[in-house]
Amino acid sequence: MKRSKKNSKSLEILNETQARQTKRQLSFVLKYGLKYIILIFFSTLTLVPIYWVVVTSLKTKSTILFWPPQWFPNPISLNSYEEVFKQLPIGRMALNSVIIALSMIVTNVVFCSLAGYTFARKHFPGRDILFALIISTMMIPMYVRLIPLYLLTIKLGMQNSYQGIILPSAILAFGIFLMRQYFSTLPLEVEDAARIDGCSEWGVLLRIVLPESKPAVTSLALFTLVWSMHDFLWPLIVISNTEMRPLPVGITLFVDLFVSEWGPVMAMTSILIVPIVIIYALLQSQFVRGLTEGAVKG
Amino acid sequence: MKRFFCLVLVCAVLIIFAIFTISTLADENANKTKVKIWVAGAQEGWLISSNLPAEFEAAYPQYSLEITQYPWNTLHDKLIAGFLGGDLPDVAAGADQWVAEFTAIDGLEPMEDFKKVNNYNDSDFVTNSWSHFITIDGTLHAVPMASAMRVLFYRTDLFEKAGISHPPTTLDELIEDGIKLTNGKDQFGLADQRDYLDFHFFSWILYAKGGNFYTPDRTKCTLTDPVAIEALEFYKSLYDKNIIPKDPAQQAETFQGFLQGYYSMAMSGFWWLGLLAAHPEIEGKWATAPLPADKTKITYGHPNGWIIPAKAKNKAGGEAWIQFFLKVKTQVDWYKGVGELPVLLAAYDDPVLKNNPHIPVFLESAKNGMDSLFNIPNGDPVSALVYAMLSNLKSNKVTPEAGAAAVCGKMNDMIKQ
Amino acid sequence: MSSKVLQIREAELLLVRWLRRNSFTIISLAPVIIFFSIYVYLPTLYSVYLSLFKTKLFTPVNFIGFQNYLNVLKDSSFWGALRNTFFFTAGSVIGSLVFGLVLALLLESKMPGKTFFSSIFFMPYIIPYTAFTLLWYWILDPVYGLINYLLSFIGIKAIPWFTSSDWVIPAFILMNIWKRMGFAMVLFLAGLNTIPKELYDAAIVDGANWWGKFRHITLPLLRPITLFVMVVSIIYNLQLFIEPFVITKGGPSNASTSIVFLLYKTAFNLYNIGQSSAIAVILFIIIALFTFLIMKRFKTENFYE
Repeated sequence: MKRSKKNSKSLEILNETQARQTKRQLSFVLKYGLKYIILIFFSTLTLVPIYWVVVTSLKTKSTILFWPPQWFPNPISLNSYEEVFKQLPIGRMALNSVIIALSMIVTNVVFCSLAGYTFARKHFPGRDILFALIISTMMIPMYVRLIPLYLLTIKLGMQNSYQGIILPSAILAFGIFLMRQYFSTLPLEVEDAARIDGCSEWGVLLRIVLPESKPAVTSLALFTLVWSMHDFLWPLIVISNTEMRPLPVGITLFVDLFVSEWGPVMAMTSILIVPIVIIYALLQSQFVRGLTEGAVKG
Repeated sequence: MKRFFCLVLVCAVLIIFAIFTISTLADENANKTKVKIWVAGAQEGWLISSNLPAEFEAAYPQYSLEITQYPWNTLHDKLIAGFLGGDLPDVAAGADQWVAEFTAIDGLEPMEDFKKVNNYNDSDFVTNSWSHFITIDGTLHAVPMASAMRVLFYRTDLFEKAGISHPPTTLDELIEDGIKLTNGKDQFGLADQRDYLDFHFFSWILYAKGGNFYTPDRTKCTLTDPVAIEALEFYKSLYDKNIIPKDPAQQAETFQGFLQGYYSMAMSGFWWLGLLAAHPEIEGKWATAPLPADKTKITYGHPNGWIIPAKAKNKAGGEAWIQFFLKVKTQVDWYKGVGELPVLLAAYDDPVLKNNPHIPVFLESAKNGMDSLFNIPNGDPVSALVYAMLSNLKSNKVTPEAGAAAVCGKMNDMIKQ
Repeated sequence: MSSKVLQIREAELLLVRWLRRNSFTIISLAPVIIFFSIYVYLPTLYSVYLSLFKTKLFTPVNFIGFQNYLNVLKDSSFWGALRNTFFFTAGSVIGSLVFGLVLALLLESKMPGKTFFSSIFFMPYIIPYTAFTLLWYWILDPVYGLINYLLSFIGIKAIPWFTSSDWVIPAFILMNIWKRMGFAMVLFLAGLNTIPKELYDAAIVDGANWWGKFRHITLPLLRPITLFVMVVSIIYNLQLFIEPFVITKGGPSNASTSIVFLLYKTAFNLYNIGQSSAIAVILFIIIALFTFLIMKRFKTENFYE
C-alpha cells in the first residue's frame, strides 16, 4: 500500500515537472514569438515609406506617377542614378561629407565627454547654472543666429571652407547633455576605488569611465554623424562654391518650388541612407559586445 | 583604449591635412576674371552642365563663369546675408516678389542705364517684360529673364466625352463646363491649387473681374471693392459647386490630378509643358487655351528676372552675362534646357518654338499681362495674407466680405510702411 | 621685501595651487565656455539687444523698450502659432518616446536579429530633411498618396492630411514620430544597457513578474535617459519649422503656422528683426520654463551617491 502511494507520489511529481517544463517552453515560444510578430509588424510599417523611396529611384520618369501605384518598378531603370551622378560632383561631395562628419565627430566626442564628465562628477559653485546655460543654447532657433554667425564667419575669413561649416557644430550642447546624463548613471564606487588607488582625474576618465561608456560614446558619434548629414541651411549659407558642398546639400539641385524631380531626389536619398545604415549596424554590434562585457565583469 | 586614441589621432591629422590642402587648391582660371552667377531651382541648375558657359566664355574670353545653384528659399536668405556683408554673386536669378524688397534695403543695382546703353526696346520683348520689374517709385532694378504667363490646361479627351466642343473663354462658360465635367467622385472640372499657387489662381480671377489687390499707387487695399468681392464669391462658388473638390479629402495634387484625368482643367504655367511631355500615356489628350476672361482679358504672370547686387565685385561681368543671355540663340537654348519661355520676341521664330502648338497660347496671354503686384517692398507678405484668407474662404470659415475686410485691415498697415 | 610684494607672491601661489587642483575642471570646461560664448551667446545677445529697438534690417533705429514684445503678444497669429506648436510638440514627444521605449524593450535582450530590426527603426532618422518633407508631401496626398491608398484596404476613408486645417498638425505628428522614434530607441537601448542584470535576477527571486520588474527597476533606472530624451525632444519640437515652411507655408488657414515659422516670416519677409528677436526671446522663455519644470519634476540625482 505504502509503496504504491510512494510510486504514485513520484509519478505525480514527474508529471508536474513535465507540465512545468512544457509550460515554460510554451511561454518561451509565446514570448519570443509574440516579440517577433510585433517587431515584424512595426518594421513593415516603418519600411513602407523607405521602400517607396528606393522603388521610386528605380523607376522611369513616366512610371513614377502611375496610378494605382506600381509596387515593383517595371521597367527597372537606373536613369535617376545616372542623372544624379551626371549633374553632381558626387565624389568630391562625398569627400567633403566625410571630412566634415569625421571632424564633427572627433570634436564632439572629445569635448562633450570631457565636459559631460565634469558636470556629472565634479561639484563646484555655479555648476548647475552653467549646465543650464549650456542646455539653454539648444532653445535658440538657428535663424536667430544665422546672419550674425555668418558675418562672424566672414570676419574670420572662414567662408567657403571646411572650418566654416564645422565650427558652429563643433560642440553640440545636446552632446554635453547626453554624456552627462549617461555618466551620472554609472556606479560611483568603481571611480572612487580608482581614485583611492592613486589614479589621476584623467586616468579615471580615460581608463575607467570611458570604456564603460561605449554605448553612450557610440550613440554620440552616431547622432553627430546624422547631424552632419542633416545640417542643410548652414552649409548652403556659408559656402558659395558647389565643389565645397557636402553630399546631402546636393539634393537641392533636384528640388524645385512647384514640382521636383522625384527620381533623382529619391536616388540621392537612397545613396545617403545606405552608408549610414551600415555604420549604424556596425556600431550596434559594438553595443552587443558592450553588453556582454558588462555582464561578465558583473 | 590605446588603439582607439591612435585612431583618433590619425584621423585628426588626416583631417587637418585635408582641410588645408583641399580648400586652398589653386584656381586654373587665375588669370581670368570670375563672373559669379547664382541660379535657383531644379530647372535652372541645368545651366551648370550645359553648353552655355563655354559659349559665354568664348564670346567674353576675359571672363570665366562660376555657377552655383540654390533652392529658391535659400537663395533669398543667402542674398540678404550677402547684402549685409556676406558673399555676393555678380548676377543672380531673382523672383519678382524679391525685387522691390531688395531695392528697399539698397541691395540691388539700378538697371535703367543698362537697358538704355544696350538699346533694349520694349517692342522687341514680350509685352510687359521690362515694365513688370519697375518698382512703384519708377526705378528698374531687374532685367527680364523669362516669360511666365499662366494659361488654362485642359483634357481634350474628357471634353470630348462630355460633349464640349471648345475650352471655356469666359468665366461663366468655365462654370458651365465645370459642372458638366464634374461627377463628384473621380472627375472634377477644375484643379485645386496648393500653397501660393492658390494665390496666383485667385489673382487671375480678380484681374478678370476687373479688380486688383490695391490701388495703382499702392496706397490702399481694394479687396473690399464690389468687383473684388464678386471675384471672391466666384472663387468660392467654384468650390461650393464642387467644380473644384469641396471636400479636402478629395483635393489631390494639381499635376497628378490632371495627369490622371481627375482634374479636367487646371491653371498652370510653362513648366507643365515639359512635365506633360515626359508622360507618353497622356499624349494627344491635352491642350492649352488662354485663361477665361470676364470684364477684362487681363491675365496673370509671375516671371523671374536677373538681378545684380549693388555691392557685387564684378558688375561688368554680370552685365556681360545678361547681354549674352538676351540673345536669340541663348534664349532658345535656355528654353530647350530649362523650359522657361523667352522674353525676346525674335526667339519665338525658332522652329522648336514655332512648331509647338502651345506656345502661341502663352504669347497671346502675354499680350494682356498685368503690372506686377509685387512692385512694393511688402508685396510678398501681402500675398501671404491673401493666401491665408483664401484657404479660410474655400473651407467656409469666413465670408467673402469678412475675409476681404480682415485682409484689407492688415494690408493697409503693411503697405503704409 | 615689502609686504605688498609678499602679498602678491602669496596670491600668485594660491592661484597656481587653485589652478593645479582644478586643472581638470578648467581644461574640460574652458573650450566649451569659450566656444559657446563666441558661437552662441554673442549672436544671441545681440538679437536680444535688437529686440528692444525698432530696427531697419539689422541696425537698431529707435529704442522702444518692450514695444516689440507687446506687438507680438497682441498679434492673434502668435497665439495661433503657439497653440499649433504646443499641440504638435505634445503629440510628437509622447509618441516618439512611447514608441522608442517599446521598441528598445522589445530589442533589449540578446535576441537574434536585434541589429537587423534596430537598423530598420533607425533608418527614418537618417533621411535628410529635404527628402523627408518631399517624400511625405507625396505619400500623404489625399487622393494619390500611398498612405491613403493603403488605408483604403483596411476600410479607412481618405484622410485630408495637408489639405485640411484639422489634419495638418496630426500629419506632422505622424511624420515626426516616424522620423524620431529611432532616436529615442537608440538612447533607451544605451540606457537599458547600464541596468545591472543582478537587479533583475534579484527581482525574479523575489517573485516579481515582468510588469513589476518594469515598474520598479527599469523605469526608475532609465530616468536620466528618459529625461534626456524628453527634454531634447521637447526643445527640438517646440522649434518646429521645416514642415510648415516647406510643405504647407503655414496653411491651410494658418493651422500649421509654428512659432519659428512666424519668426522667420517676421525676420526675412517683413524685415522686422526687432520683432522677430522678441519672438525668439519669448520662445526661449517658454522652452526654458518647460524644461525647468520637467527637470524639477523628474529630478535625477546620482542614484549611487
